Amino acid sequence: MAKLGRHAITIIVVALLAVYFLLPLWWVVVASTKPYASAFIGNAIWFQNPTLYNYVYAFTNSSLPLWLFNSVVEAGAAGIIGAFFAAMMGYSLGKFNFRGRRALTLLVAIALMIPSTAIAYPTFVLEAQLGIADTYWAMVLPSSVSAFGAYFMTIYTEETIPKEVLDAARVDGASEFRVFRSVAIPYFKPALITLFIIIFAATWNNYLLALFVLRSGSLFMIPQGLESVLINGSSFPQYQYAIQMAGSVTTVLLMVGLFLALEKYIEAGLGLGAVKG
Amino acid sequence: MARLTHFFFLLPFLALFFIFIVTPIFYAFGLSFFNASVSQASLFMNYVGATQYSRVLGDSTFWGGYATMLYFTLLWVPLMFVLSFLIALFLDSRRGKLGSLGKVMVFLPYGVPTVIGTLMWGYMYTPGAPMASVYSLLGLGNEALAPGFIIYAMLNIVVWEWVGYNVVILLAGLGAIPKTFYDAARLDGASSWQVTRYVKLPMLKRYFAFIAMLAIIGDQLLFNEPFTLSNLSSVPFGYTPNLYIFHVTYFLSEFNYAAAVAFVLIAISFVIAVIGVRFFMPERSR
Repeated sequence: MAKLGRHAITIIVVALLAVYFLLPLWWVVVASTKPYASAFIGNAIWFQNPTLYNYVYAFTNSSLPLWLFNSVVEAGAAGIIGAFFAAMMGYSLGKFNFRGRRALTLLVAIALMIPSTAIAYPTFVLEAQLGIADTYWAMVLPSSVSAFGAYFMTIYTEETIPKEVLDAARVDGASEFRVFRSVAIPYFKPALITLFIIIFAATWNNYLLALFVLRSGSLFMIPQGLESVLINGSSFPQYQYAIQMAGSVTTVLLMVGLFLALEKYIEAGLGLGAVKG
Repeated sequence: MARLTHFFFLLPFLALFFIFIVTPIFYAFGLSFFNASVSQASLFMNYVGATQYSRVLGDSTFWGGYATMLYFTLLWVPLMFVLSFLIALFLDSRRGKLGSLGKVMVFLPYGVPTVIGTLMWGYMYTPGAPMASVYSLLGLGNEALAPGFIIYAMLNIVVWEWVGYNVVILLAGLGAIPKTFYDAARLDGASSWQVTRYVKLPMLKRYFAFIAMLAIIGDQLLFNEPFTLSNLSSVPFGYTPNLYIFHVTYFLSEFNYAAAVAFVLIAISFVIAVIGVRFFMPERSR
């Protein structure tokens, strides 16, 4: 009897969590199959005469494919560069003894709390001077500097890589770069993947920076693209609706795929990075 | 040579760090002492001393936005602690049965760009959308985005986006507690409430500090949600400090003043960071 009660509680709680976390996503999936005219009437949570019109329209008549491509290129490049640079930095802070190490660790920890939005505007002024404003680099380079990543990697290095393993490789005559590549990197795998996802998400969420440094529509990532439709498209609500619904669902599917593929690394990565007893 | 190796590992990060974090901060500081007009070629024109700062100090729109952000933090941090802890406890106790299903479900919103997440919720808040009946139950009529309610509309969006991320962190922490701790507690006759209170909660202290830190940084960033909502309803342009900086730059074209506001914001974060570092900075293992 008690077991049955426990079972019922599990089902109820899971149902509540599913409703809260998945309802907006489900709603947008259903809404994306409706024409604008009937979007806000009738059954909101189940399909009625579903049509793919919104998708066809968005992929053939808007810049949605380009925004998707830009998102993958800009956030992806920032994620890869950022994760590797942070790993090298964290590895150095975590496993080498040198003068100034403590000061640098402190600097990283403080920089972690400087809001990226507050430096978005001065970053734009700087990039205009350097001549890289309104290019892919304008978004990729600032987004690659992850103070969070360096902090995370420092702790991860200390927690997971035994000094003896590194020393053993050194005794065998491996160079420092070889030790890093062949010994440390395998330990870093879950952390690198976790950090890639975090920097990827942070890049397309650093929307204020994108508003400042990306002026050409051809460089927009999905969030900026969809919002530009919202701002400019008010005279054609049916097209605006089509692009936003199709764009949102496509983005969500992209992220679901990425999560499911990398899910087993994420908990391992976050877990070790956050601990310190 | 060997002594310099660490330097090569530091170099790529530090180079980008100095160009894209340190330099912009000094840039903002430098710009804040001028008051160039839009027609001038350089922003470093018309030296005005510290007058931009006295203007910031007396700017009630900016401080009003700052107060809104603080209020938001006060609501958000405790709510986040309680919700993520409860959900993590639940998922942890059903680990065998649910597998990764529950975890992926609550983590999913984190992967949705905040602008898109806000648009989805924004549509759901719209009169006539599926949520409308919930609002009338709450006594809100059709006005989920009424001026006094925007902050709670935002709170809901931010909770939806971030709870799952914190749950995954706490789940990892719960998974790292040695099983022998539970066995010892059971032998001493501890109830499951006592196990939660005296074993799980203290073992997660570091994780909670980490979450608190992320929450405080996150609040400083509050821009995407109010900015996106402002396209759907009337959000004041000074609603959060970042929204204000954008407004001052984009619509008022007062670039030097925007730099001063940004620098004040950075300076406040810097002070919070220096205090905060004492709490979450890892103790060195050696």
